[in-house]
Amino acid sequence: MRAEADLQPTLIRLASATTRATDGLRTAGRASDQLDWTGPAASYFRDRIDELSRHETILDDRVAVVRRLIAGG
Amino acid sequence: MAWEVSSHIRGGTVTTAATLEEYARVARALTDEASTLDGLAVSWTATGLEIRTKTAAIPCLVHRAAGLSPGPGHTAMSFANLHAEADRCAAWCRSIAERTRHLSDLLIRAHALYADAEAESRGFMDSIVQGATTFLPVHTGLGVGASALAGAFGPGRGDDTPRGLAALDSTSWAHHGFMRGLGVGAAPLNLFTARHGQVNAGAERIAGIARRMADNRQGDTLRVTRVHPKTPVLTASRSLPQALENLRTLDSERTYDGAGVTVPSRSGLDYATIAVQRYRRPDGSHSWLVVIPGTDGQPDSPFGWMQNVEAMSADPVRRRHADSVRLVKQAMAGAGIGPRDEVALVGHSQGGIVAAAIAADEGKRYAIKHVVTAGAPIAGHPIPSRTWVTSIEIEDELVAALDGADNPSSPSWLTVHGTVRRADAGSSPPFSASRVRGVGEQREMSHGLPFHQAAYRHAKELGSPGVRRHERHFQDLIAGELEETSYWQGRMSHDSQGR
Repeated sequence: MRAEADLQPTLIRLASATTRATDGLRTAGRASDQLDWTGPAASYFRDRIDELSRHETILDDRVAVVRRLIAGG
Repeated sequence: MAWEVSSHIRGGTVTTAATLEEYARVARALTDEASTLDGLAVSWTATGLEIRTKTAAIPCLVHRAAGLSPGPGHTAMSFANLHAEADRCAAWCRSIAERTRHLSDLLIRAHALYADAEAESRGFMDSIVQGATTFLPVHTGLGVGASALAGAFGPGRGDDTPRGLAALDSTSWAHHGFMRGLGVGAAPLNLFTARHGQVNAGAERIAGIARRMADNRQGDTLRVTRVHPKTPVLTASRSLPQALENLRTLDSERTYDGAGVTVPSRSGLDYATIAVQRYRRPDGSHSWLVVIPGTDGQPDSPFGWMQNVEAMSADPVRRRHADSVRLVKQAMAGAGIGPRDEVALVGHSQGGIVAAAIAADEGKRYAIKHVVTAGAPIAGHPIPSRTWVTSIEIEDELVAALDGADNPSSPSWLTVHGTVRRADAGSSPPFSASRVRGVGEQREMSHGLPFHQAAYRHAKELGSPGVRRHERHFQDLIAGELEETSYWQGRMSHDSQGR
């Protein structure tokens, strides 16, 4: 199918770029653990970084579904 | 409508360049990933749209839409699922980007990562405005006036913001430069210019006239009396926010005249009263906290308008003889502060100027260890580096900008800059600002202490290492048991006997 042929490379590129972005975000999150920062805002920051990490996992799952759908086409 | 203050911090830290770079690297990484995810959100949305368009255009999909299976040996790409997944990916990318950017902003504000760059850019603007004010005063005055009119009458003004405040707000970019230009105009070749800044030199130039005017109106005799409140007024200041709250309390303890009715304060204290607190530390030594409210403008008050000019002067002799400075020094001596006792001074507006003047000029007489100022223009006061300075200033309050310069930034001098904004319910992310307590719904002058208190509270919540250091220094200084609070009232008169 031409439509599939047109879309597949775009979707693969997008999926790869999204995975790279979530990997990059995890690296930044790990680097922030090393900062000497305390107090309410620092606790809030670290809690949100943990929450972001859960959201990144959800996004990775969605990207995996996209990859499966492409592979099935 | 509530109000909130968002703070930026400058100075106060001994963080090394390498550590700062570490914070900046994490902040940059978060910002970069947020931008990438924003871009990906757009791409996923566009791709989802493209899938929908193609779904409608391809005949076999019509076939599949009718519930028919693909031919033998074929699996079909699930377009319906695919565009739904693309939309979900877009939504998640957008949401994560927004949260990531908020965290990056928080990190940048808490550690003042770009404060020096911002100060440099502000300094450049100040120099331009100063130059323009010096050489083209009429044109610059008209320009700033036009900006004030646009702020006061333009569409950007909120319905409940008084026009004067909107005018101040819209000209905040010019306050420092304009004041410096006026200072140069008043004292073009002043001896003190290089060392203390143009505004203080200008203040020295006109302080003689201000002195004569004050003396003619109020007299030159200062009478300082210890007064005893009928009810307890100040509590122990265990932290800097508590000291600011005590300052606000003392400032509000005065007789109010209005609509033909005079209402004395419950405690009986009145204007031009300062407080001196004595603490006994665990090692048996004494430390002191001096609480100094601002200008009250009463006819016989040493904290009148004219005394501001003298306390701002570049000449230390002039500063020492300002009535407000004399009142505080006499109270300190009366309370029994010894030359080796460690002292903290906290002052609002003129009270802050007086605190800075005493720290600058009385180093041999008193061990001034920490000065806290709220809304005080003290950038030009030569405070020695052994004295820690914590300054709180609000962006559009004008009074704090009367020094025409940013405060020095060093480990011992920390400045919290607050910006006032409307607090729209539910719209501000956590830790982006602190609510202003005890003010009405209508926009008020941000020179009031509740705004400085909110600014410091926000700075403290951000957890900046500089604020933590200054807070600890202040707390260590007045650690121990509060033994006594004495109150000292000053009055001016023409009576040379001081009665």
